[in-house]
Amino acid sequence: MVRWYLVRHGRTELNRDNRVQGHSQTLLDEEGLTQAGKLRDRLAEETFTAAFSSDLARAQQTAQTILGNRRITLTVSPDLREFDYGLWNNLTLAELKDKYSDEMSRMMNVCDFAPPGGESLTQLLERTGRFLAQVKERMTEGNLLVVCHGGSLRGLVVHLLGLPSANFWSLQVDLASLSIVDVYPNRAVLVLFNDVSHLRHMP
Amino acid sequence: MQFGRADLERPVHGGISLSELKTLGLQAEEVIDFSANINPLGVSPIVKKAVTELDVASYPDPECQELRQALAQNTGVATENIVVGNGSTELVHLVSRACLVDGGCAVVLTPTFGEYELACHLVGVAPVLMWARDVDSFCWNVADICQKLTKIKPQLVFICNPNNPTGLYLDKDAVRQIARATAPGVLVIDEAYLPFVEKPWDSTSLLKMDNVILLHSMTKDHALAGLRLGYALARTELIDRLKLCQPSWSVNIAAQVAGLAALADQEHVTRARKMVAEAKAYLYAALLELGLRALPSSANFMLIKVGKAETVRFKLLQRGLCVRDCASFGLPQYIRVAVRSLPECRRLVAGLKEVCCG
Repeated sequence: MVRWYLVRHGRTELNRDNRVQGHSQTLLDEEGLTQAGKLRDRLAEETFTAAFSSDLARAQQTAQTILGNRRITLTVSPDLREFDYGLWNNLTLAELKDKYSDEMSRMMNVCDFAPPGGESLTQLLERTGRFLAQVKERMTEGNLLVVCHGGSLRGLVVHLLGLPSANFWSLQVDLASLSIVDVYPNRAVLVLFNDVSHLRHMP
Repeated sequence: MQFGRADLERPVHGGISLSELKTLGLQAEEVIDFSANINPLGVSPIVKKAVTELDVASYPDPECQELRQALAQNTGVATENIVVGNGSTELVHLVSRACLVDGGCAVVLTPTFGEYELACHLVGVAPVLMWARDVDSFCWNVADICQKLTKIKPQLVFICNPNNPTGLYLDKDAVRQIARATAPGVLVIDEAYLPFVEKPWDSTSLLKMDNVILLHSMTKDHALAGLRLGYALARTELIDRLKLCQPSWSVNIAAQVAGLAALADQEHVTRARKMVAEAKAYLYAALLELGLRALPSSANFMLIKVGKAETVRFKLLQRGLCVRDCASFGLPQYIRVAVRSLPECRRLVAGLKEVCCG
């Protein structure tokens, strides 16, 4: 069995302002750093056999904080990047709803629909599926840390649990949350989802 | 004596009305036609040449053998799973005749091409219309539709994908779910505008499902609207039933010859697809800039909210721009415009600016 610890990165300034980040390179803000620290404390007792992160800075920063001085290499992969929102990157959610409500509704209803200049859910699922297949091939035992984004994390869960693609939009993944999936040869079991109890005592 | 259903009306389609132009004092050459969704490059020169060298004295091959072989090569589907029609509209009517009985049940996913509904009515079936709502950006609720289909068990379901006029292109999962919910009834997927989709999924794999008919038009992508040519792909039993309903020599010799020549010039369609993609990106951004609501479209046309479509259409026509008023689709606030060349799209944007934002 392989236990997958799935973590979404901590807060950035764009998150704070309710802006869509996509492939923008952003760093954790002060609260994001604190969140990453809380994740580190939460996972302090776990032994990881391998650690992966999206190659976007906010995810790498979170992963490195969690790993601390563990002697383990962090493997980064562009396949774990956030949804590429193309022209929507850096817009606020309010701006999006105002200007692109038709496109958003199409995107949530049609897996092949891509926002202008961005990628479709089908494409995101393709690359997260590719990442998953590569890891599964190499690992049959152990604990795995994967730090990525709201979109890619949901993609991984959809794949691991074998959910229909449309269920992607039925999953909520908060900042600095922890989800756990146990992967057996013929089945995956969702053990924990979108848990943020470690952030409870934050201001 | 009663001559059929007196309450039925022919569906409204796009295209320029010569009598209307006359009353406006306009010549057809002065008007750019954005109302018909046809390849903006027009017909391929190879097709033109083939058609001028015709022998029209002999009968056309009633089986369209040569064309079906070429189509088989093109689609990867066997010849016995292909029937050619006098435009895909003929095939729509053949399907309803072959699959529906008086008093049966049919479903049309709307708003869409008007001919499906008429084809059902003509065989005595008032189809159930399942609407995609404006507030949902004209996305059908697929889960809800599947549930209803399972309950009412229709013999025939029509869906246009990408859909005319909304430009919605359902993904494979969604269409497969609809096909499953329709079984054992027949699902017709009209793919007339598929050649203009930039990244299409392979629909021929759905033919394994037994109850699926794919309709293709060659009048849009290859600009053969005046000749009428289309084809259907399905399992052999369905194809044979369609053939039985079809009048002999339905597909004329010019259409068959043009079809063969067109298939040999796929480059022409690739060029058009690229041109449409570029012009569509411009049109979409320019309309957004004008503050008009243009719905994202995977096809070579776009739905635009303009207020009173009838008035806007008339004012645009006075400026030599013919667009489609969508009232007959049940969308009186919308016009549909075909994506043409970039300079032509620029003229349309200028016209819309004057008429809608003046």
